[in-house]
Amino acid sequence: MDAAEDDRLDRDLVEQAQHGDREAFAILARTHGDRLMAIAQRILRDVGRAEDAVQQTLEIAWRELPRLRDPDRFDAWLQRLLVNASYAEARRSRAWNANVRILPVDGPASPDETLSIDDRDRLERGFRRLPPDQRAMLVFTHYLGLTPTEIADRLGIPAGTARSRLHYAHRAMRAAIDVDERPAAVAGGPSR
Amino acid sequence: MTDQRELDRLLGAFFVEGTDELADRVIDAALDHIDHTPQRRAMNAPWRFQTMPMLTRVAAAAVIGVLAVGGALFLLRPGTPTVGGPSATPGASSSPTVAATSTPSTTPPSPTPLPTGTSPADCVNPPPDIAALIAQTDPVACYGNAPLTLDASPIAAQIDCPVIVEPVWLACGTSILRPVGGSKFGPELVVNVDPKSGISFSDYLNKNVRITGHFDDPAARTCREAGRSPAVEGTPEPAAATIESCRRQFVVTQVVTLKP
Repeated sequence: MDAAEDDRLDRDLVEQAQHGDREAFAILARTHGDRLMAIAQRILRDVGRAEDAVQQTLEIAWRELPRLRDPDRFDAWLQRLLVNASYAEARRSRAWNANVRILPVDGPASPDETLSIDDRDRLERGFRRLPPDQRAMLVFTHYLGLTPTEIADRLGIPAGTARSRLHYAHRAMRAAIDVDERPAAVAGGPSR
Repeated sequence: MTDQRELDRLLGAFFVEGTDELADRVIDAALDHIDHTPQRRAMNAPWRFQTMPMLTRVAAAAVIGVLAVGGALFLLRPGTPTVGGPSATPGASSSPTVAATSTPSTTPPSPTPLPTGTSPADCVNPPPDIAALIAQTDPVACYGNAPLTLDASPIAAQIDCPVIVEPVWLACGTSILRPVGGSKFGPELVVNVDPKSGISFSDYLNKNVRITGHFDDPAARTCREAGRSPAVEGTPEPAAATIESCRRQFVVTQVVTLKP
């Protein structure tokens, strides 16, 4: 099945679900569920919270679906709901900056994707310090490969805001990596 | 100093790792929930004017015009009470019994529309419930600081704030509200209360209430990060980001208990 046919099938399902067809919505939920989970887990850095965010997204999507004006934008709309649910989940669980846990690694896909344990640890700590909106910008940029303009369109925010959030997020991540690379002067020795 | 290219490479590799599968039980739980959840009807009904006969079009336009002029005359007639003044008896299903507010009122306020011309097209205006409210990507852009009214049920919660912000009450939220009849997996709204308002949600735990509040509280303009808990490392976030976070906090200004 080619991409155009996939899109047409998706559109048909969305239109059916908009008219109350629960079976159609169930297919959509199963089709898009893995991608939603991948995004939420990368923003929230916690499987349980990501699952809660996805479940909430699907429930809101069902209820609000008749209001979606363009069925072709279902995927982008769903991701917008997910980001909002992730923000809410982050606000609800205030302890998300603490309790750092490194996720298991299945192995790098290519030499260019290799991360040392030190790198991963620094990135993890730096990322967890970011506010949710900056986390979302990094995930949409570096995981989904979208430009700030595309992200702005998808999340319904001004392009300038998207660029600003990305700038701050990059700056914070760079600072986190660079600070962690320096010896800890106060402790009198290497930080790691 | 890590250059942009190296940072891009590191972040690209960082996000390769992670969970890529959603457990079936999550989808099953969501589908189970929607089995008894009605959909919200679309408010933008299809526009059928072009397919109507000319006579019907003229008649429809005339009726609309008469209703508009008549409505305007009715509202502007001398002696009409102003909005928010003494009003009709509350409805039977959700009449207020106790008011604990900074601005006492005998009638729960109705949902308030957005300021004209400030809302993006996708804003749900006014938000009919908590789920619709938290679904807004940018509530400040949607609603500004217009008062919004929602039915909710406050739940007991301990909110630990890792980043200390001045004013403290705008930092992380004071209470958590669920929709009336909502489950623990449903949407929740984190709200803030200005101590000067005298409102305490501990008086309303697990009761059904009608709240009024707003985003973009004036106090948000002076928000600044004042410190971090020991569990949080890192440098303070930029001042603009702190202010933006504070502006997105929902500040409750009025609570009215609803009768069961």
